[in-house]
Amino acid sequence: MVETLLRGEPLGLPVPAAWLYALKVFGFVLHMIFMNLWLAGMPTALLLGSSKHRVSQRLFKAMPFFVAFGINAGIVPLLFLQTLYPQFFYPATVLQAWFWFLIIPLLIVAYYAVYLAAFNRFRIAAAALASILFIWIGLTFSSAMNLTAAPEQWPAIFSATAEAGSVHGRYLYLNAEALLRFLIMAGMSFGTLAAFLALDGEVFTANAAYKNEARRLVAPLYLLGFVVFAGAALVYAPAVKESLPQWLWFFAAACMPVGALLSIIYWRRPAKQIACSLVLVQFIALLANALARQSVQSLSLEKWARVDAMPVRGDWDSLILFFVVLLIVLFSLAWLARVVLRADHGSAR
Amino acid sequence: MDFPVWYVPYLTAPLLIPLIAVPHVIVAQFAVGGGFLLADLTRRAYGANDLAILAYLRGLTRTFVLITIVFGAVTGVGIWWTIGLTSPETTSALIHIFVFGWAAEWAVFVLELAAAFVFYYFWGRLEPREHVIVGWMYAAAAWVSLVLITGITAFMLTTGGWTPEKSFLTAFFNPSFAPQVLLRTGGSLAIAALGIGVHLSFQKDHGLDKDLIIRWMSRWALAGVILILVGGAWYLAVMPDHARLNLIRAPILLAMTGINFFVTLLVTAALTWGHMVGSRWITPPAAVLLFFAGAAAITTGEFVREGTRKPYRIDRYIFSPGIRASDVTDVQRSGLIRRAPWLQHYLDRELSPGASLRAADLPPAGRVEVGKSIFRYHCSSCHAEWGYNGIVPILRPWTPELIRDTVRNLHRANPAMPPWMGNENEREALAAYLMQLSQGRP
Repeated sequence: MVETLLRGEPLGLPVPAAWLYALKVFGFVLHMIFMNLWLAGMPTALLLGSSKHRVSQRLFKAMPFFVAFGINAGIVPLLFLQTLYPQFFYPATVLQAWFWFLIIPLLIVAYYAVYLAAFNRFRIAAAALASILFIWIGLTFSSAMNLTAAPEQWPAIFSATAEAGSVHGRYLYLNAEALLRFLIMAGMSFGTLAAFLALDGEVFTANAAYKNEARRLVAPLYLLGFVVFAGAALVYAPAVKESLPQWLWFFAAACMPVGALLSIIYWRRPAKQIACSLVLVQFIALLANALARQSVQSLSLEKWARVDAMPVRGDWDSLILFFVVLLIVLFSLAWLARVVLRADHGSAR
Repeated sequence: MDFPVWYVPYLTAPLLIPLIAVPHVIVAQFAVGGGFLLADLTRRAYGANDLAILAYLRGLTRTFVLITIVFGAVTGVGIWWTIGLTSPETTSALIHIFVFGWAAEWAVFVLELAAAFVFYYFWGRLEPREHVIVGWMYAAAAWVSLVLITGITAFMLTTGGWTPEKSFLTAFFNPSFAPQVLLRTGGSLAIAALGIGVHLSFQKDHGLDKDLIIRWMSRWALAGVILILVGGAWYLAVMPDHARLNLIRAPILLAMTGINFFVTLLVTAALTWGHMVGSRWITPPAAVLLFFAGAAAITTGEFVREGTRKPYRIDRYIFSPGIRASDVTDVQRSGLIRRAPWLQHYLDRELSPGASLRAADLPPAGRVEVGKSIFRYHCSSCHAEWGYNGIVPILRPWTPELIRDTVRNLHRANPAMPPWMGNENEREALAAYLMQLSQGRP
């Protein structure tokens, strides 16, 4: 039945699927770093509350950058998801059309609330609003990605929401699985925030008072994240165990406990090397998670459509154009970073 | 037709696109033109060592960042979001042709964000020369982003020599690409000058040489107007015949084109006058009025661009109901329902198994139900039943014969409509539903 609802893109793939998978995972990791920082950072800054708390101040001020680059990086995985799996992604989002559409206005409101908090205007209310909206947007994403990978659910949802053959779009596939996947991400977010604070305190900030405050927060934040991650992963893992290669299973499961251990060591003996190790472990955790999610998605969809069987157009000139542009952008960013670092060290006016 | 249809009563789902796209285009063009103006004004202010203007520009940059980085960026994503919901076939085709164009635009946008942040947050902490270079870097990134997106939107109007076997570059450098780049670049410079004019009009003088800012800014704006005129004429020249025909035949498009010309002339006159007399004309009401005139020019321009493209979503490749031009004959022979799996699934479940394929044998109520569903798949990308482009008021004076005949010859009745894409049974079913609507029954 479901097979009849699946029509792949007749134009085929522009380049072999491996390129598209690699770029999708790359973009998702990039997105996760910033998204984790806002997902955990905003409520943390809010709860630390007091305007005298330096970590809270710094998080509020940094939040507009996290959101800007996080939204921007989020484009990449969605772009390649639509290239690899259009026949799965579009029906899943159309069935939940209003909720998917609402992400845009809600994101605008959340983004402006982030700026209000950064400029210290109605800070508590703005931060609370942004936190709630970010959580809601995350849940909507989790629902959309879940339904994308579950076409067997479509006929029943379509039947329940269609009138005259068209859907009303007021449906949200928010089930236990979507919630668990979101909680896994939320748990990792606190880990990423803790790793950021360790790095920021040890490497990027000279202010001793800030460093002390940040150091005290690293272990509690990471352990909180670990508990949420482990709790959700324990319930969710059996459902996807078969979809993951063993090495990936190992990395996806082992990094957060190692990170938790490192955060405790850092709490007892804070040092730059331990902070850097924590950042490295957390980065591997994010990468492993992105690969694991891709693996689960690919294997769920493989039984409906084989991406590697799709025709490939071999549109290499566009891929080369992209890499040339990316290279120019990276050089420009490096120049900007040099200018900023010099200004920060007071060599500029 | 390969995907389920999302029906939004009264508005139609595709109308959600301009609700996001129009404000986005205004803000995005403001962002591009504003980049050039800010970089140049900052350069001149540093050169003249005018601290008052520099202080003013810092405040302007803050407003600029808040508008463009937040609203502009999210609504840009929002357009892509919405077209995926309302025209998945078209979005999928565009993504499969231009995926690395979009990816390149993403990369350029990273630079745009980074440069904008450095330009604002490091104000006063960078060497003037470096600060100005960062400003130009932002402007260049924003403009390249405009160029990359224009390649895709222009392709939708003029596919040129592209065929599915040809490469990205053939699609990107299509006949209306260069004229649209000129038009949009010109529009960006003009709308940015008008936007900054609004901002400037609300500033207290306090030693701020508004005349100087207006003079510096007007040169860019007038250059923009020249680009608009050249690009506009070129654009009209390369328009496909069906688009030109739409422009002439549809009163609304003609009216929009007229408004577009009128407000462009108004803005040109005001900018020229402003350049001559300086800041005297920059009072808040005049500046706001002119900004709205500029926004109206962009809005009507976008409306005309979208409207003239009909009946195609992508010129000669995909028709507005989401059917590829190469599939039309086949769809007409085998039937629309057979090509729309979600619709077929719905009808077989709601009526009876196989009902979708024998609409003619159904009792009248069943036939109307099939017709209503066909309306949603074939017509609702442009028509609501009631509301936007509502079919009920259009049909009210029509006779059953006229309805039947029009459905049979849709594209002859109105070249902006696609050919009828169904078989005889389906045409009868749609006509039955439209007749019921014409009698005022839902």
